[in-house]
Amino acid sequence: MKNKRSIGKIYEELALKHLEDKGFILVDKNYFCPFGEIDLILSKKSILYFVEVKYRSSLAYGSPRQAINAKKMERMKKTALHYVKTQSNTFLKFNVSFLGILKVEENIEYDWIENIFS
Amino acid sequence: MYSRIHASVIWGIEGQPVEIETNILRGLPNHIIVGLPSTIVKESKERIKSALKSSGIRYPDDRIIQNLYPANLKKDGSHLDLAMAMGIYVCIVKESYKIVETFAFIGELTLEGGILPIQGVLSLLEGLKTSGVKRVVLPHENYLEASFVKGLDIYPYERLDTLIRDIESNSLKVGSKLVSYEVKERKFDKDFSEVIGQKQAIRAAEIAIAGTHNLLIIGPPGCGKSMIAQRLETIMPKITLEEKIELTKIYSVSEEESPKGLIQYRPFRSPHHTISRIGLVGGGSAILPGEISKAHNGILYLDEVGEFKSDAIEALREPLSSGSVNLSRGGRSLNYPSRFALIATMNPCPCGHYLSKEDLCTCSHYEVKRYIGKLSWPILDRIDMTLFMDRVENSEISNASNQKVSSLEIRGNIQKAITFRQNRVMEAKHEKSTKESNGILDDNILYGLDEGARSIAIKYHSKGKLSMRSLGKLVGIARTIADLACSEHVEKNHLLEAYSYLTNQQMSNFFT
Repeated sequence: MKNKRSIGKIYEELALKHLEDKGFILVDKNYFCPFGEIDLILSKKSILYFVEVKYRSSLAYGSPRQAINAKKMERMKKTALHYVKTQSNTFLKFNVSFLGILKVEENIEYDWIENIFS
Repeated sequence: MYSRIHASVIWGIEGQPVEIETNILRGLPNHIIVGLPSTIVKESKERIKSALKSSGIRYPDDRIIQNLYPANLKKDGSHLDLAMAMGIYVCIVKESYKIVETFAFIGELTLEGGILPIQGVLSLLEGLKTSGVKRVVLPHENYLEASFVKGLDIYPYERLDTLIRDIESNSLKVGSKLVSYEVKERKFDKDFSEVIGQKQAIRAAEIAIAGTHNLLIIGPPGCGKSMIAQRLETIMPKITLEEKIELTKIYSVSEEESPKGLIQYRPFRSPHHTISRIGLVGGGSAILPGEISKAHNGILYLDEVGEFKSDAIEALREPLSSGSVNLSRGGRSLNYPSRFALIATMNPCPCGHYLSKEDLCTCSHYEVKRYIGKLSWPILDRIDMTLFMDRVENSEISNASNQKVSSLEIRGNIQKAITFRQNRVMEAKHEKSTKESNGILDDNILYGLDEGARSIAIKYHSKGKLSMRSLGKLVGIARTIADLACSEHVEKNHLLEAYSYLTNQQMSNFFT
């Protein structure tokens, strides 16, 4: 069995590259706090983006989007708030976003949802 | 990705048009329903999802928002499933929206994409008519009932996948014309020919049914009051299509008695005397119709009317005079029709033998007054006819065989009288309109009475025996008797017979 963490690491790198191409600037990576973990923290036009990266190698267990449930969303919100409180004073706005990565026949598809709470 | 689908919901017994707006936004998978949905409507999201997936539709991994317009009307019922599913479907397959736009959808879905029959189709369709929709897709099993609504094209479907296939090929199939089916003559295990004697009571029953007059039968135990009342069911006239539709609407609101298809016969309701006020006139948290509405266009038979709870009986005052009941609760106000013939029976006193020929009554005058006083005057005043029945005499029993009347005969007479009245009313209307155009108005209460009858009516009234309401009732009963005799004018003997049934006149025996 492959190491799940290392798979996650690979695709988080991929996600970062994809987002950096879109003009985001990396602020932090794998931020841990008692409420949970956030994969990527980026910024663009003085807005802070907390990004959850989800990878699925096929649709057999549903799309990456379907892996996010209410509990996970709540945890992400709390972690994001924790980060804003403790680490940053400069940014005025922030939002919690999602990047799904799906492998479709050797191609990679990206699914970007800005602000999952809207 | 936006769509708008027509549907309707039930409000009381009437249908209200609603529109289902669907919008699919980018976001995490979620399905939100707004616009005052009940729990049933909220639960429908799971049925819709499963049914669409089983029908080969790729269910969107996005945020689905559905709004039920108008937002202030409470939406209840599983029949919105199909319309909501179509809303999502046309958001995905946009080419179909042009076709689906002009349709309304009604139906409940199963998880594997079947379209299930629903209750209250008639009300829902009437509601859709007001919104201007001309074409409706509904469950196949409801087609028979729905085909009685005029002015709508009905498209019956059994499965969601066939419906979607037909939409995509733009070949929706309108329901085939039905062969008009005959209503079977109803069989009863009772008949008026089983009644020995009591010719006057049978005659009174005939008049009451022919003219939808309320009838109170008073008599000693065992004289046949209930026997006559139970047989009234067998002489009720035919029900018209409009009446059938109205009645079916009422019954489809009450869950436990919801009919399959159209109701074919006039109702005969005989609640037990322990019934509550809400059970009788309707109400409760859901504001359901009561016995009086379920007896609409038929008979409400109250056996031992004195034993009923007095608040239940008193609640009949308004329905008896207006023919409908307005129920309000929790900011909701509904109107149910309740035009029925009230047939009630009771004993004249606690022992039951007061005023009868053979037996001696053991009750004191006070007891008699108190017993009969259980029915208040306002209620008695609304009962057109009162009949005092006595026990059958011996001589009548011995030669009973040669004077029996069957229910079929009586029903024939009543049917004839009703047809006669309809023709007469039509002519009178025509006459009135020509008179009105000539500037002559004739709204006299004594209209249609001949000279002899007119003079008697005026004589009774001038003696102070009759109030204006009673005079109206007297003329009404006399008119029915004249119709039974197929007489154009109300004659003297008709009026005299009517006078003998008048409640005031009969009740005066108890208070002398």
